[in-house]
Amino acid sequence: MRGEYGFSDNPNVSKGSPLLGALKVFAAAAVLVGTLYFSIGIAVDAVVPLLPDSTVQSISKRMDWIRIPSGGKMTPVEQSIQRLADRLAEADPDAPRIRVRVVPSDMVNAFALPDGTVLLNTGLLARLESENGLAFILGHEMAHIRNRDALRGLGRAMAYQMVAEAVGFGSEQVFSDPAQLSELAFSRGQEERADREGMDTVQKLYGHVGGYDEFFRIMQRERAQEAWAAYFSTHPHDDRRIQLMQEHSDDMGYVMGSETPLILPRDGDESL
Amino acid sequence: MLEHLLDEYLPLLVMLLGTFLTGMIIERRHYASILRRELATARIHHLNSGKKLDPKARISQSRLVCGEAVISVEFFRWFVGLLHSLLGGTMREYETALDRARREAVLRMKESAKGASAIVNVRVEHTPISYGLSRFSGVEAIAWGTAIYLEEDRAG
Repeated sequence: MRGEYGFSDNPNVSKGSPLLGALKVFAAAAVLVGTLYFSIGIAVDAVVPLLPDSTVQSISKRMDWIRIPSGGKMTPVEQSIQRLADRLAEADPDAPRIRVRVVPSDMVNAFALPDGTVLLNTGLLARLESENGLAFILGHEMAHIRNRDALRGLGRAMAYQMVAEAVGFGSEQVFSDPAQLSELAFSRGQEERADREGMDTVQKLYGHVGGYDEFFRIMQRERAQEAWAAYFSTHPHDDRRIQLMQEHSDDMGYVMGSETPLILPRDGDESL
Repeated sequence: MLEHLLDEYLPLLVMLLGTFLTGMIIERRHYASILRRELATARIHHLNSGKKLDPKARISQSRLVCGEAVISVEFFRWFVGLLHSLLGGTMREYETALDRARREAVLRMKESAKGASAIVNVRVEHTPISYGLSRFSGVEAIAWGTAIYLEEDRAG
């Protein structure tokens, strides 16, 4: 009896190139993943606007990784920004009430959490020069909260994670890591809509839209510094956003006015 | 976007390509060795029956012989197999590993029965070696049977 079959012509081994077979599997898996990706996105976008506010709050409470540690008492800086946010909410009946929290971080950024908390990094506050610039950021984040953009992003991320875990690719780490604030990255469409709606809110408070591009000016200055390049590569369309805001301002007949300088209490100053 | 994807998936791509090549080379070599050794041990018949075919045959000695082989499934096949198991269909990625494990085990069984005229009552069993979805998977095969030595073999 001799060895009858080797690598090829072996009845126990499927015919055909193994590499080609693998490519077919990859292609089919890609189709499957793509279908899931888009159907989850569509489903989340359809469901999120229908959720009642109480559900949004209870979902937010469950995301314990996202809660920013706070001593309960607001610092003078937070109180000062909170007053500006309240003025904005009073001026625009559509704008939601938000809670302002300042996060000690050099990163120039602000985040809107699903439960109505807005996180402002100290790195951003240190670079802001006008109150109007801050109001635009707050108005922008208010629009994100009203549109539930964070919840859409998180809903997608969570659904993808669930699928990934169901098929065995998942890791439990993803949602326990506070670094995942980047999950709050929004789509271009969401950002541009929040820009427009934030502008409307600021117009209602000040009667003009001066300083709307301060945030982008800061971003552009920061981008020049190499260390930030990695982060800003996710925001490649700042110029486009400025242009779209300009167009929106022209459409609505908004005018530019003079900016109010931003005066924030110094850190640790309890007298305010 | 492309850079980001490349950053994230380049290690995976390198792993897939690298292990595809190593897996292919190792398998070719293994099959060459299997074919050569199957020819070399062809004199020892192995049957799964224990019945004495020739009633006049005089058996001088019989003993248990055993051969085992553990064949790994490299990362490439493990990964493709994982995707394949989501979709369905023949898991061709594992076929050659199973084939090689079985034949290697039978060969080692025969090689441990030097001078025997035949091995009867041969059984082959497989065990998948894998811890859940960990990137460690393979096939173990064990073959065992009774090696019989005929009197004329001993004399010859």
